[in-house]
Amino acid sequence: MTRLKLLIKLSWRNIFRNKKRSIITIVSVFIAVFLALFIRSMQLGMYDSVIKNVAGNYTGYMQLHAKGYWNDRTLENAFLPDDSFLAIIKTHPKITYLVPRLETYALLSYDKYSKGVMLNGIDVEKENLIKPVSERLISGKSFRSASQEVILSKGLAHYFFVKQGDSIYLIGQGYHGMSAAGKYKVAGIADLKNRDLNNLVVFMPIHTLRDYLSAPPLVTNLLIGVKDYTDIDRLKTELYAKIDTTRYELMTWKEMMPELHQAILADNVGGLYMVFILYLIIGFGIFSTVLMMTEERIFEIGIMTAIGTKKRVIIGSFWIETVLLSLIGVILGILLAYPVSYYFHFHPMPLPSEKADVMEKFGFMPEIPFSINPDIFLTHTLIIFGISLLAAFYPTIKIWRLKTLKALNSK
Amino acid sequence: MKTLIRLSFFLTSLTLWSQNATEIIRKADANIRGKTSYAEITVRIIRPKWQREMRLKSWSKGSNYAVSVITYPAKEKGIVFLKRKNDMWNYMPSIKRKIKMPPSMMLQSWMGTDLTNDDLVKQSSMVKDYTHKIVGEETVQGLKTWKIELTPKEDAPVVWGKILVWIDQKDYMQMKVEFYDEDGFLVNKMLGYDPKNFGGHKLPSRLEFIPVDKPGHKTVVIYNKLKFNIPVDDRLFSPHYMTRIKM
Repeated sequence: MTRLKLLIKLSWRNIFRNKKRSIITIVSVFIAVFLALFIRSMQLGMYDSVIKNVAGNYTGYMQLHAKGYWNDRTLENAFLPDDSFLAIIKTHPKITYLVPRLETYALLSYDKYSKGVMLNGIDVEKENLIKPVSERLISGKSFRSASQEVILSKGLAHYFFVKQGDSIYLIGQGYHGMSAAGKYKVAGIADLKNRDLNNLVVFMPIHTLRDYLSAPPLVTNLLIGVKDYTDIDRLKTELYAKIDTTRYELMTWKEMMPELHQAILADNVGGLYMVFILYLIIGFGIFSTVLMMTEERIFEIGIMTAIGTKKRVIIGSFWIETVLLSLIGVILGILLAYPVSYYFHFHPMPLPSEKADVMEKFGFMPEIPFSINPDIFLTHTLIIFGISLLAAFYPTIKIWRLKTLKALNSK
Repeated sequence: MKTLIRLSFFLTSLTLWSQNATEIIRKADANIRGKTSYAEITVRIIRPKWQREMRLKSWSKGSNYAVSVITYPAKEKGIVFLKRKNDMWNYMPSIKRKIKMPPSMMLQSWMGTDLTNDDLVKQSSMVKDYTHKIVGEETVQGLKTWKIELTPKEDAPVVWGKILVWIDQKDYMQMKVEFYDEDGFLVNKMLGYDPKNFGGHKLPSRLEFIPVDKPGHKTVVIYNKLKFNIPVDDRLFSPHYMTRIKM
């Protein structure tokens, strides 16, 4: 114990032997850690926000359909969820909610304009489990479960120049080829935080939509909420074992929105490359410091071994020196990066307008909330730790092979 | 000289046959149409998993004007379809709106059946737009028929590559029609059943339309009532009148 204390004391003093060099090393580690954390926190925060925005707030992280629905999205592929089956899913500890939706397409007509839209029949009360309709609204109010009203997404409202209180016409094909047509009042305008959805979606109470389609109490999509979306693939396999796969299909948000998933993957790899280059530079920085520290002390090490210090002890002190050096940098980096991430987590960074446009096209929000997931900080601390241990291999080998006499003659 | 005579005989017989085929088609076509007509029709849509029924009343004048009103089911009651030459109009009582079908909708299914809107309005005439040739004689449902091949004329507005029609030799009824696409593949089939005498016109009272590429899909059209050459008010065929048609 006392020996360890002595070792640490020795290492601490060694670090401050060459103050300038140590400070430069610490600062470079600090900057690298800070930048790496900044980049990763920004990227992961952005992905998290996109996934939560689109999957969490709109499509659900997982959906259950009648088998074949996804490839042929017609009413004929809707299903009637039976209670015993729902109970299996509902009681699963990782599942937070089940929300029914009925989706179909129709022609919306108002004044001289018409446009194809997606009708989304929602159960107003159950929808609260995902996101209350009232929270999506930018004007107007929500509807009640049986009212003959619709809520338009803001892109559509803009296209048709409709306001709350106007009446729109819907024309399309109903269940079993019945003709479907109806006149509905616009209850409100909603912002779905996604450009595609904002130009496509019309919300209707599910009962009203079924009535319009002349359909029985059918559902096309059953949205499944989960506690932790990162675990979704394992949960899917787990659920698959429990459902009748000849009748139903389960899909995760990654399968339903492959373009979003791939955009995230591609962007993520880009970020990882940046961080990798950063760490490569830092790795060599630490290594060069360690190299100098070793080379300039060859004579000293010779004397120490000559008077009986064990090589193990000397190597140990070198290890502690290297780790201390990088650890100081890491701690400083985290101390500065965490408050910055924390700030941007709650006050998302807005993007300049021309960039915001591009981001919106990809379904991303035009602002970046940072992630404050402790995993990011832990990962990068461990990476730097690993790099410094790797650098410490040089003195280890050098000292282990050192001949005392040769070392004494080196001056 | 002998060969020349033989050849001329051969040629005249060819033209005779050909005229004969055209004559048959013309008679069959005339058999379907009168100057005016009134019909009460049941349409049954048959799908692998379900089926449903519609009923409608229909008036026509020549081949250019026709109007139909849905009378059943209640949800669709009062929907009107009007054909005026190449145009098609649709009136939806639930939203009190008249819609003129845009060209983009003409190839869509009519009321969920296996017929397209275009099938109901199309102007092409079996008589005028095709050349006709008798290719054989077959028995269809116990009736002796001519099998006639129809090849579209070059500038005819026709989507088919070829049509085969089986026409009953006694009453000139179309008992079977096969529609082939330009690559020679069978696309649609129409079969006629239960011939009945409708005011001097003997016609199959039940028609089945079968899209060949969709197994289990079928649309059955049943004529419950069919009258020819009855007085029909011209107003019936104006878009303005669509909203006021009484059932």
